[in-house]
Amino acid sequence: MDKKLTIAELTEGLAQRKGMTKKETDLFVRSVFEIVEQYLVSDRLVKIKGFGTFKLVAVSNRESVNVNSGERILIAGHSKVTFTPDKALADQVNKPFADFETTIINDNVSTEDMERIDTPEPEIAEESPEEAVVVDEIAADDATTPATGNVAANVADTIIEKTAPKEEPVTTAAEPIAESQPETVAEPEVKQEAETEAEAKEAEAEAKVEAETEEAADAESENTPEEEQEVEMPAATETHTEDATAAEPVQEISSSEIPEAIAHQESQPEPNVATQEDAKAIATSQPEAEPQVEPKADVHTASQAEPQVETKAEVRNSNLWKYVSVGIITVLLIIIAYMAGKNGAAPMPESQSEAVAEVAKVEPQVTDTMPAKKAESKKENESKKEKDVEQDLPQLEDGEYLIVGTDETYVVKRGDTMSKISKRKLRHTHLYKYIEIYNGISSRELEAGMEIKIPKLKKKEDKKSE
Amino acid sequence: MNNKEFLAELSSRLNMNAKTTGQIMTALNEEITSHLEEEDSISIQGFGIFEVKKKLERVLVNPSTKQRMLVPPKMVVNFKVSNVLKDKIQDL
Repeated sequence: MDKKLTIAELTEGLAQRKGMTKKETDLFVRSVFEIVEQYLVSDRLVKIKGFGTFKLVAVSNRESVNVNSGERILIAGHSKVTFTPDKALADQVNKPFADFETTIINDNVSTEDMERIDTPEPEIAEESPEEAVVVDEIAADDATTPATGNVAANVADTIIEKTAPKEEPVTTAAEPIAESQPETVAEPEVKQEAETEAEAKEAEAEAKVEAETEEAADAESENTPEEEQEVEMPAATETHTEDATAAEPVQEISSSEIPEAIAHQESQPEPNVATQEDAKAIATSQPEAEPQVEPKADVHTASQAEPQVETKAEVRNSNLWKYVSVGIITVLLIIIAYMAGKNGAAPMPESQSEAVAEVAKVEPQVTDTMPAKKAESKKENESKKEKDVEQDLPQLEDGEYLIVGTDETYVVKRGDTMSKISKRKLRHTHLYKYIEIYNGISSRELEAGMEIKIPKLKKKEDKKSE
Repeated sequence: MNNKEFLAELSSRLNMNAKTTGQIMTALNEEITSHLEEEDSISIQGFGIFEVKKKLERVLVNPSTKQRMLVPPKMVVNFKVSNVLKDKIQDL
């Protein structure tokens, strides 16, 4: 498989097949290709039965454009060799797929799904524990991707350090609480169903955590022992009381919950979030399905920071709207988001995703959507502003044109590519770079419905017009 | 140049009779085919590389009827000309 063979291996195989010496077969193989080359020049076509046809094809002159400067250049006509494999060879190679045939797609079949297999499905709102476990597993899998895991852990560390002193004194107690919560809350107080479920997940979560400690050693090594040791800590009682009062949004609760979210990011066992939320959900007599789904979304925001997933989480949260306990938490969340943004000023992308993830995590626990949304949108606005400031009329350095302003805005349609838009709006496909740079997006991020700005271009002085 | 001419040229070059040349050529074809079947690539110095490429399935639209068709994935033999040969035949 995927070996790169040379003439030597070919002659060896041939020698074995025909009982000839390697020298003979080597000469044979070499002369075969020599002849092909020679007669390709004279006859322009060499046909070998069972192998294929070599052909010399003339390529006529064509105009092209220099990728860097945008100048037109003429590519001179030349000849090139083409090889068409013989049907026998082609069939033999295509054997694994020989059974497939081209089929006509009916009009009502959508092919859009085919391109979007990799995006996560948010619509899993099962209530059965098994399926929830599956979701958790997915979540845990995502969380274990070492790169994001480590970075997230580090950033989360710093966030904890900085938020802890600034918040209410409760926060210091909250850290251990966060870790001990899933087990302690679930076991003694909550109804029996919840117990079994939580236990199952707990076991799983622990297994996961252990697996993770091997993978991402430094960040987790501190946290896993903690988790196991502090399971039966007295802190549990505190959390119980807090849970009992969870309906009324007291400041302590929210402040204790924030480190929870962070603590989870730190230790990364996402399943814990699920158990925790389960326990909480039951304590506040909520339907279980919603908190179970949310960890998934959380993890995605944590690991990938995809804006799409965020919105999905939002959509899901709107189901929780009924349980909203509006008010003070808004302010808190905004503060937190702001602080998180401040903390992560140096490593921008991570900290941002972190902050978003944090917000997303706090959401389900507090069962309050609006403030979270606000905080998120605020964050987005902030980042947008930053972008605007940074890229105020960005320029393509070695380009022919200067961007002097926005010509118009354009809503991307389905099937549009950067070059198509460029061709239509700027008259040349190769100018798409300007659109990319002006909007600060790459062509891969282009999506239907997106609104992009078409730059107004002005020729740099010394060059003559097209 | 067709297969017959090719074999004649080959046998005269190697001082073999036409029959054995044909047999060895068939064996060589089988050898190459068997390697390509395993997705190995065969590089012939100064000539080029034969390799197998996997083409993904795709949706094809007939421009006149607007009918969409699903083309299955397939494996194809690809020949990449070496630079040496490319330069030689460039001006022909």
